[in-house]
Amino acid sequence: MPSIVLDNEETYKIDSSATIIIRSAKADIEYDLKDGDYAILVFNDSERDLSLNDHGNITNANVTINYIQLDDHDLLQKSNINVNKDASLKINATYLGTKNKDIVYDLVNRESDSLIDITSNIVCLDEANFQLDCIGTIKKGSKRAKCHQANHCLTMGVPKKAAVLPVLNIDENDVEASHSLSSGTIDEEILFYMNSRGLSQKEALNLILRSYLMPDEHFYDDFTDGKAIQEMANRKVDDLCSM
Amino acid sequence: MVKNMNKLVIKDLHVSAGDKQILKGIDLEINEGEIHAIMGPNGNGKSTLLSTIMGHPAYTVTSGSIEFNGEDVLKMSVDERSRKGLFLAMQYPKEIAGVTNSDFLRAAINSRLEKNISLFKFIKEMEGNISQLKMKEDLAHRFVNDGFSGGEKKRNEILQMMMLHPKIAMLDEIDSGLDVDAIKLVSDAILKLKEESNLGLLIVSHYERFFTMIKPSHSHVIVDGKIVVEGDDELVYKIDNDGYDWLYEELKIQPLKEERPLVYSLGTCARNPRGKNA
Repeated sequence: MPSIVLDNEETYKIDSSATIIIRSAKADIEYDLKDGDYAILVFNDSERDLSLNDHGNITNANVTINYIQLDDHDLLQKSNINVNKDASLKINATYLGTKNKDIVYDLVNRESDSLIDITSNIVCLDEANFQLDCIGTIKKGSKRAKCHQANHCLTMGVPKKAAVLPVLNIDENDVEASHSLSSGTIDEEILFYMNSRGLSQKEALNLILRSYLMPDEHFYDDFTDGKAIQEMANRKVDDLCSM
Repeated sequence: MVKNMNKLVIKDLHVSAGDKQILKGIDLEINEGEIHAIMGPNGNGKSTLLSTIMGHPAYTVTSGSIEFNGEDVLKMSVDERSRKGLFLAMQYPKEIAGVTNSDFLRAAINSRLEKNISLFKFIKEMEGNISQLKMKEDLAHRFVNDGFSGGEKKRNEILQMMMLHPKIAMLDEIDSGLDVDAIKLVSDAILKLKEESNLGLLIVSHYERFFTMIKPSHSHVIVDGKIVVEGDDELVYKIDNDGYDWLYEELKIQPLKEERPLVYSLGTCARNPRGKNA
């Protein structure tokens, strides 16, 4: 299946694996994923302020959704996804940039034996105003449900705000839930070490950021147009590093 | 055409860290092909000298000069110093999680080339050096120094030196953390590189064993931020046998005592097994 380019404001329905490239100012994605294994890549290439709203249901399926947002524009994202019986949702979220980013994950274990696992890698640059509310809700009756989240936030320069708020609403016994958060800046000694091998400040930051944001070098291989998107992502990281 | 000799010249170097003066007038000249041993008691300025030459931001040069091949090193950024041919193998190499040795070294090599090194040439050279240093074959794909033992980190510093082909290399206690066999391996690699490229070396170490293998052409002892005595490799052996006391007596000097952070108890909130406060 070719990549899906969202360049208008219509709701786009996703019922299989997909590479989604957003080029519009507003994007609405509805998931209806059933009975299978699916991988979704949502890549923000809008080059302007974006309002992203994605929502839907996962039933008897294993789904991975990867969000890649590398830019210096405002972002308003609301993701509301229900995970039903025997289904799993893994979210890998990558954010790098400046400006206002207001993101809410509202993910719901709606039935028994459902699994939600969220990992976010965030880099807030100078002047960024970043807020991520990461809400996991385990509904009553969702026995043996699992909901885990791990958020990592790196700040560079002086962001206005870099806030990550993990929330777990648990309304059932016999469940597993966890959250973790790490935050910090790049160690000056590491930069000195890299500089002392001949890498300029920009080259050193670029290497660190690429590894931090995209730890698996083969990550893009599994997606339609993965190579082209990887090049776009690298270019965006380059641009942001030189700001 | 006569090739200019690589030369690092340090004149009357004064360096402070915060408001503390550490180096108090260092004069030193290192030419290509020479091996200079730097010795001295802990906390008296040896590592500061090496870090300052490389441009560590924690140190401020308050007066004096450092020139490399006639150029003012103090006006260069850290990466520029490296690309000009200076190299510092660090006492405590940093771990860079997420960045593989291969990516790191290729980026470092490419930073000093007009055209990027071919992947084939890079892999061939890296594999040859890994094999020479008897390091693990998967090193290229491991993150830089991440999860490495102390000895592996030191060997990795030497590997980087071999890959980057510096003109003057500074080794800060590169032998600490290495066992006897590894010291031999590392010193053989250093001497091979010196033979091949006429590398100049400035080496800080406390151990005569390492210097016996390396055979320094010059040696210097730093006490209280100054070079107080200089000589050849005989000076190294004398210090190894007699320590520094004879020097303090002869020159009527005292070393700086190494400052270590105070360790003290914050008390305890533990309770004894009977439930009463301890």
